[in-house]
Amino acid sequence: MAGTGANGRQLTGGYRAGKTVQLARLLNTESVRLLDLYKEKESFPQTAVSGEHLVSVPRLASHLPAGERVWLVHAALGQCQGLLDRAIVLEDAELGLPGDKESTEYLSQRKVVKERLGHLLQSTKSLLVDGAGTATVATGQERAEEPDGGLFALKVWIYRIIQDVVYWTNMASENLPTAPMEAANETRKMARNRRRGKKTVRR
Amino acid sequence: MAVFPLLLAVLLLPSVHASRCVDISPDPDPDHGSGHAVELGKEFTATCLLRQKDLRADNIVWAYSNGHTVIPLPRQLYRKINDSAGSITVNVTQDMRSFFTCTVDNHDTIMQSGCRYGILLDKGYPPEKPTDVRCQTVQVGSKMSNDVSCRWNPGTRDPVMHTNYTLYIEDAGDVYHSSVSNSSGTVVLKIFPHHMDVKIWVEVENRLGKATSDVLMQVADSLIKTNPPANVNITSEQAFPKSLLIQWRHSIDRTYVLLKYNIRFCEKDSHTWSEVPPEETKDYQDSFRLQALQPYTEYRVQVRCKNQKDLGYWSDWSRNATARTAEDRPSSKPDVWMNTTVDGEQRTVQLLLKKPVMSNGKIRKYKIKIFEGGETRVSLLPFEGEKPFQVFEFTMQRQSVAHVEVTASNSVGDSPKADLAVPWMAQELPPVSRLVTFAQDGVLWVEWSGPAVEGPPVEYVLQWVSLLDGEWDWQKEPRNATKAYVKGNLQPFVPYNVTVVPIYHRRFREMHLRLPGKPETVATYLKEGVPDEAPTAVVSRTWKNSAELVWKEIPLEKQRGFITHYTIIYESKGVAVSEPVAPYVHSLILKNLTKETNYKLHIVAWTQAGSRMSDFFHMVTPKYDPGEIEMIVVCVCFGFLFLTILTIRLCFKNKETLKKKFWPQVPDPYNSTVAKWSPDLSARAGTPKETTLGDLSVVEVDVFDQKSLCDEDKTSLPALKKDKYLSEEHSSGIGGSSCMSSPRQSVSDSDEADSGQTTASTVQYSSVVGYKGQTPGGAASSSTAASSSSSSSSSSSSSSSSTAAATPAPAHTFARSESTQPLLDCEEQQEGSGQSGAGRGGSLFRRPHGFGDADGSGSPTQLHPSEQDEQDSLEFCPVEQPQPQPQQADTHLPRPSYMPQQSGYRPQ
Repeated sequence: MAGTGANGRQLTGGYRAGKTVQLARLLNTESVRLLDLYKEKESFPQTAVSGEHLVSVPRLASHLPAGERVWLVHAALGQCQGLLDRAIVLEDAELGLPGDKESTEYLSQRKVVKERLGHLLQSTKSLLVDGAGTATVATGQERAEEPDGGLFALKVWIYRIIQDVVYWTNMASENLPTAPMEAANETRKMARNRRRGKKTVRR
Repeated sequence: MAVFPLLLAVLLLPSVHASRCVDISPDPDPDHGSGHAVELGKEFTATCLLRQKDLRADNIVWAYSNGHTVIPLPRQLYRKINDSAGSITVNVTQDMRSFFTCTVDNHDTIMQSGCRYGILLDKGYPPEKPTDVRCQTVQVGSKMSNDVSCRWNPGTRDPVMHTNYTLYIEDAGDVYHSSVSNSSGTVVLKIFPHHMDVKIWVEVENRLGKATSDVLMQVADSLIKTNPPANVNITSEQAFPKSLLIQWRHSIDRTYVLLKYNIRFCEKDSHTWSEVPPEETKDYQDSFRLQALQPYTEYRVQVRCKNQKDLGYWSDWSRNATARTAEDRPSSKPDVWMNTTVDGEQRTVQLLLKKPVMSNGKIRKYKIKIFEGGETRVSLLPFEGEKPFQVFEFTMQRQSVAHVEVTASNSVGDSPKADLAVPWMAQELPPVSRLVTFAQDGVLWVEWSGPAVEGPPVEYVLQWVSLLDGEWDWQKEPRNATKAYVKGNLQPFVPYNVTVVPIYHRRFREMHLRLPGKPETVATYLKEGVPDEAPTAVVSRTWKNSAELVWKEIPLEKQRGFITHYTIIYESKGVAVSEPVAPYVHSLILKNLTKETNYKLHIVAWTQAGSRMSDFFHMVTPKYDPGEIEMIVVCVCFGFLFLTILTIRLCFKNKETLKKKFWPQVPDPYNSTVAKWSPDLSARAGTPKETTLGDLSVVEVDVFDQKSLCDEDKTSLPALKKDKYLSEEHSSGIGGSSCMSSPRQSVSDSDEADSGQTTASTVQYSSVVGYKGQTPGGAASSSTAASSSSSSSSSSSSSSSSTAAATPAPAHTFARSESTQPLLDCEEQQEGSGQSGAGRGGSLFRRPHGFGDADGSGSPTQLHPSEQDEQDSLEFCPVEQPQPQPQQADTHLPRPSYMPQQSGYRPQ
């Protein structure tokens, strides 16, 4: 999606990629904070909960093309969003809405992460549309199996979801730059070639 | 075009409002209470529908109300559609505030007086397109607020009618909106969409239309205005006296906004900020070191921040952080100047010291070295900060050269040394030339030409002193300066002396000296004004055609500028004359004035800025010049004197003529023949002379005393004339004739002599009088008559006469029978009265006693000085031998009016 910035410049793909990375970093920071708050709230140990990721997206290999990596990130983030939405519903339904200050901060942070995750998804989607054409993104809803082991299992499940958000936002912040930068380099090369062509014509 | 649907509505709707006799179309929805929306300035067509058959469209009356009165609309705007409908098209105006009515008068029916229906008009304008939409989000806590506040330009036209403004923000597919005011509003988002694109627009809508602003599509970070950096702190380090370390805390986490910074600083008392170049602080950083500062100087620092990508807004500046740089040794010389005074063989030098401009710390003391005649003196002068400069005084020989070096010290070290030499008295180096001053932009500029000498000045000292309060200061200018402004706080309207002194560099006995040249001074003002007061003039002297005017110089503090000249204005009878006077003149003689004229005078003092006129005062020129009257009197006196002299000369010249006229020839009694005396007289053996003495007498008749002389004499004269045989003799001896001031009349035998007595003051004549056996009764009676006739003119004579009159006339006996001369009654009475106080026979004759009052007052005849002299001379007339006269013991007898002569007569 192209647009006009505040200074009137055209928002290029490289510029949007950069913003997506910044957004991923911001979301990563906020999800880390959410995880910390959740640990405090539910008295989880500081060490990570072991087990497989709930988000079932192949790991990002360095040899994959940029568009592929963006697609994988977007898919993983989509699954994260689905899992988080479901977790929020279950958490609110099963655990209730606590009124203490810590919980209020947690809920506020949870809301921020949820909304920011939607922004990141929107942002990565725009990269896919411009860079790799129309893409079909698997949301991973099929893997969103809800826990059935009681309240503790629900809390661990929520914990693992937040962990996955942290993981994939981190992956996004680390892997997305290469693709947009490559795209940006390609764009610059093309622009340079155009300018040279004009000069040749003038001569 | 809009008329046709309305007409259609008119045709279709008559049955709807069957209950009313008249309707208006369009009829606004009653739920919408504001009425039918119409645009101001546009045409509006309304149709009146008549619901009853007896109503006629011709009777329709359209009107509107402005809230106070009902104003009918002109009939030419009416249009009859058919018998039951009529329309009107009007231009909508602001004053259609109340109902717009259609009234039908039905005069054909008795029952109905009329039908009326009204609608309200909702007037206004369609909305204008909002422009220049600007939005901003501020930081709340550690994050950006979810509220996005926007402002826009709603346009210049007021829609008048109710208008809705809605602010929209689309963020990641979600659209948020909020009803806002006409030019600003806020939309609350779920979270602030960092790094996301947003669309922002404003919709304005009312019943006449809808307008939408351009969509502002931008990254949300361009809306951000963060808080300024927090906890800005400045650290001063002793090791770096020209540097300050600034530290701060980021106002927001870098994951939200990656910031860049901007730093500005200034000296504490200054308001001119210096900004650190932006490229120095474009990174995300939390400290910066300010360098190249002044040591021992207090600075204020402020920091602000913004998105590194130059998105959004700069934050506000942080609050002032203040710190002082560390102290360093003085980096410039102290300012040294001097004044010298001569006292005999000694010279007293006042060294004037100012601390270095770059003190770099607190100056503690001055160190002064004086080199004179191979000797060196070192002095320390503690620094006194409260004074603008300090004075150090020393003495030196009159005909020697002294070299002075001064350094200033602070806690870190000493300043570079400043030096100055005191030259010989007689060796003054040349001054500057063409020294002028002028004011420009509120400061006083001094311009000069450097002296054309070999080895030009190395610097100049510009010194100024106030001529009012004596305040003074100096400053130094570099060698190439030919113009400088006075840095002191000069006041307008105050006179100053500005002096420029060149400083030369000369070699003297292996020493390089800085020698001051000859000073050049000019008086000046920073700004001239009108004098505060005019001089007070007084007229010191006046003449009939001129006057001298004197005034004092205006006090210096009230001149407020250089007096360029005075103007004296004097005015009389509507004619004014002005005379300019040079400023150094303080008196003026006004000429060509008119005598005996009142003049109105002013004196005006002029400066370049204007003039001040004194109060007017008056002056009257006199009729005569001083001394003119005296001159006239002297001239008159001289003229009179001249005439007198001329008269006297003429008199002398024509003496004989006059003499003949006024003093005719009197027969010489000496040669007269006297009759023989009676035998009785001749028988007296002891007085042979008397018996033979001729009656020659000199009578002085004072013309002024003629009246008092003896009126009775005059009266007796006719009798005398009548009785020629009776001779009144007023005589004395020859020797006593000059002493006899009492009037005496001698009657000569000649008639000519008689006539002469009336005009001459002195008549000398003689006659032969007195015969023995004569009868003096006639004389006595004439004397009595004369006495009575003169009583009205002279009280004294009256007194004396009355005495004589009161005295019974005795038998006339010649009391002076022994005398050689016969007596006259008159004379005897006078003599008797004049000597009444003498006690003894009157040896002297005093006219006042004889003619004046007894008490001496009210004398009808005051003595003329000449007469007084005459009297005085008379006082010392000797009387040699008064003869006892037995007859005088008889007080009833009239006393003789003369002294009996005993000698001095020639025997007749």
